[in-house]
Amino acid sequence: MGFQSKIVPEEILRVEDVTVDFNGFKALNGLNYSMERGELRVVIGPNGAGKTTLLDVITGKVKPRFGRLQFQGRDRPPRDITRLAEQQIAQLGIGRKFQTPNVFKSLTVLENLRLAVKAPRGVLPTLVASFTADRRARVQEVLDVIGLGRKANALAGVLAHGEKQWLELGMLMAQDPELLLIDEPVAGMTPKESERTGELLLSMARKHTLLVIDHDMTFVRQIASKVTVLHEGQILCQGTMQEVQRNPRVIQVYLGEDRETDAAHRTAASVVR
Amino acid sequence: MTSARANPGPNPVASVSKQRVLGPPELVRAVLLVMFLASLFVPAYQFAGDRYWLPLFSKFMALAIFALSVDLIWGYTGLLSLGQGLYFGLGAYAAGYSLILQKAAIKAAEVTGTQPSFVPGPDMALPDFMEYCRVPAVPGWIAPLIDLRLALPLAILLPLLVATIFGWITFRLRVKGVYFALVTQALVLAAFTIVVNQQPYTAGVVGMRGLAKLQLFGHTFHLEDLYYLITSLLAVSYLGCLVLIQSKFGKVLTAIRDNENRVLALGYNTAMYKTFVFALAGALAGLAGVLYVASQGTAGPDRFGIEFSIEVVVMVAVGGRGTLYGAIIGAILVNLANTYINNEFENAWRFILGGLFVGVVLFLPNGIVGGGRSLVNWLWSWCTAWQSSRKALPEPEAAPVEFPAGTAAIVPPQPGPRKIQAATDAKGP
Amino acid sequence: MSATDLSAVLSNSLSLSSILILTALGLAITFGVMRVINMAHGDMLMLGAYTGFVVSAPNYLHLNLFWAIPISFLVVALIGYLMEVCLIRFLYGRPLDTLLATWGVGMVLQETVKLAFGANLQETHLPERLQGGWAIGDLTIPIYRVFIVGITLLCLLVVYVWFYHTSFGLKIRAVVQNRSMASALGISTRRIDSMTFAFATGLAGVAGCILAHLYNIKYNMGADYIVEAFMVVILGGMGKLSGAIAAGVVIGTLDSFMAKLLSTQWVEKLALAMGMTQENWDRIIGSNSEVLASVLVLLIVIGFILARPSGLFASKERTYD
Repeated sequence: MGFQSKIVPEEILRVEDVTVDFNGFKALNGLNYSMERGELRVVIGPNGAGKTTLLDVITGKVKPRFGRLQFQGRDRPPRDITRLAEQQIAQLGIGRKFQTPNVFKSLTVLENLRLAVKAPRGVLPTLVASFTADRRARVQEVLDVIGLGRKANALAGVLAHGEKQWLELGMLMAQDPELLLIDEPVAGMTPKESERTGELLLSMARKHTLLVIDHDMTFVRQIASKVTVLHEGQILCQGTMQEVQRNPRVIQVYLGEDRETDAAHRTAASVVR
Repeated sequence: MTSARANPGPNPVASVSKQRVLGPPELVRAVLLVMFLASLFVPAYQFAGDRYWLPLFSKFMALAIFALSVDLIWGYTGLLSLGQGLYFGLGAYAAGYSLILQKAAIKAAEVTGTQPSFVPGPDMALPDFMEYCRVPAVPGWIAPLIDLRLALPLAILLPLLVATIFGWITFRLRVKGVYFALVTQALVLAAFTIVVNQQPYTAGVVGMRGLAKLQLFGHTFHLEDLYYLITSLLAVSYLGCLVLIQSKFGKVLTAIRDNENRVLALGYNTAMYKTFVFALAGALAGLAGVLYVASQGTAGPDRFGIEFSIEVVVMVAVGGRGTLYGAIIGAILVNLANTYINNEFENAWRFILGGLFVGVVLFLPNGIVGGGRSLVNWLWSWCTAWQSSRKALPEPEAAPVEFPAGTAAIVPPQPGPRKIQAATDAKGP
Repeated sequence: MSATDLSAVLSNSLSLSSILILTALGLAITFGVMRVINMAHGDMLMLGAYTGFVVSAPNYLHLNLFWAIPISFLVVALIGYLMEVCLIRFLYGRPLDTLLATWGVGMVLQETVKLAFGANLQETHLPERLQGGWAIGDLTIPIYRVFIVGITLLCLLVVYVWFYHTSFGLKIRAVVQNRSMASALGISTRRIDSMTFAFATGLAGVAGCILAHLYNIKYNMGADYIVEAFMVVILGGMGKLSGAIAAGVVIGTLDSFMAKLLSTQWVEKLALAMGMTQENWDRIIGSNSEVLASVLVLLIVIGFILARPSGLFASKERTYD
């Protein structure tokens, strides 16, 4: 199977002209977005800009009205994932961390990780599955990294908020997908915890591609190399953190219009109209 | 959020979840398991030869199998179905047809003084309800059921098939929660209406009475034999469910109950898992239906009713959902209470049952088993607290996670597991 | 189908629809709007029916039907209020638990009524003023059915005005859409919850009262209505009262047409051609076409709900359930 499109070899994800429509409200509006393998991209934007919807449409939770999405796994040809089911997309190598810590509260930390670790996902294999030595080792590794080794047999439900976030990140590590979509990983964390999380993400970025959404600008500055700003379902601006922060449109969207230039803006707009 | 603080010593949060009593946990659990299963056979000794209590307990054991199946889908997978009676009823009626046809053949043979023949044919003896409705001959789709070797597998396979189809459609369409519950209830109502309505073929509201005794492999199962049969099947089902729940499959089910989105994001096809367990529950329900009819001697449409389907949910809730033995205990206790109360105070049972519904939901969400566990935990912690009196316990608040010292360079995923990744990649989506 | 047939079917569907809407209206508020699953709704209906019977029956109070309706409303609303305050209030956010608990309450209500009035079918009588019918062409439309349609429209009007044109209705909508914000604005969410629930159950009482004069009543008559009521609410889309109305009309019309269809000549001929014997046909369908029609419609509705759980008029929403 040769290349079927003009995708640059290193491009891991491409979102083409995607529109997601919720009963008239366009959460994503003809969005074009792409990522290269190995990069760590941070997506920011005001509430309602479409950030979480972008993740939803990539993972298949929401189907776009128009447009298509392509994912290219390592050493594989690019693949259209627009119409695939959620679990199929996950199996292809896209993992997600949700906005609020989504762990399995009735299972232990160990069991949470066991479910996440790379292994056949079918019904029959799980009926007869045994917890093999190498998977066990992998889980232990992850436990050490996220620091929950001593709580391996605790129910995930009793963990503190920050620990739950880290458990979820650990599950993501165990799942070992190529592309990680991370939604607000430091929400509710102290600055110190945020910094640790940032270090964790940076180290994961060495071997994976990461798309991180967040609001905490300190955290974003810590980890970002390239930043994408979304607004009303489209890309407003892309670039380094400095570039983005100096962009007047970004300032306008985030902070509202400057009162002194208000009148000038109004006149200009009416001329255009 | 609390700020990070120096962690002075060993983590006070030890194994939080399960209370270990004493000794190696596996051994203790195995012993408890054997004791529990053995206790199920006690009524056979207690009520040996008792024509009232023994069949009654046989009924309870059959209902316990039904409760097990509901615990599987509700307690573990989080699927509240208010229509499991459909599958129970299918199994019950399959067995019912078989046994009533056999009874008719036996009666006819007694009249003519010959040996009863259980061979389907155009001039088979008619069951009484068909005679009453002037049905000319036993319909072609009912006649073959006289042979238990056909009826029994059908009693399990038919509910299995229906559950698979219904489940597959429903779960693929991601119908869940309240909608799922109400749709299952509507389905069982439809079944009930049809059964009650087609009296010539299904014995209508009254149901089939006076069934023959269960005869398998030349042996008639009656009283003690029947009880042993049913209870053994219960034990086998219980062990099977236990193995299932403790496998990775079982953990996936619990994960689906806790957070289906996450399970999907991990790459599991949750619809398939749900369909599998729902189908299994259907088959178990069918088996329970057969055994119930064998011990009860009648097969009535109330098994298809919405009340019965909700009752079994209450049995599981009262016993304790999400613990298999809780379902069994709940089934036995609720039905025992039913019998006792019906004997002592007429008409009070439904009051009490209604009160049970409310009480369990409000006060005992984890059922009797859960309540018992809480009690044990409370006593245990009271004992240990009393023993270590003077030492002030460190704050039970979980310390915010500190990464292990010296993890400035956090170790990324090692090359080792990538081998697995390559291997699964080759599988292809 | 002749014109008389068609008009008969239509008038039948009109009355079936209005009964469905009437019985489901209260549920549309509690389930559709408040998201409380009240499995005792059918029994609220039953209570209203018995209240209506007690009020208007000769050997009890023997009052006018027009007294029975508001009295039923008040009695059942009071019981609904007690239910909300003592039970449902503790179970918000736990739908499946509410389902079980309210089913239990329903059972207790049934048993109480059974104790008080006996387990047998209670005969009821139509008030003289509403007996008889109006002749329109070949068709005689029973006055009582017209009365039902009228009461249904009246109830709908009352609910509409209450929800959209009173301050109480505004508060209800606020609480339903954003509870914490409404509370922060000083709205007593507890009072809103209990009053709304009481009102909705009162509506069920009115429906029951009306039904009591149409059919004989029994302590477990609630079970006959509850499943269909839920189907109407779900089909109409949760939270949309207009959707519930539409769904009631759809289901009522389907019921009526299906019953007619099953009793027509050509369906019978089709079945016979497919191998069924005349006797079997008579036995299975012949006398039972209405019941079978309702089963078929139920199955159709189930299928529809499976395909589109959000109902007839739903909008796509982003949800994480």
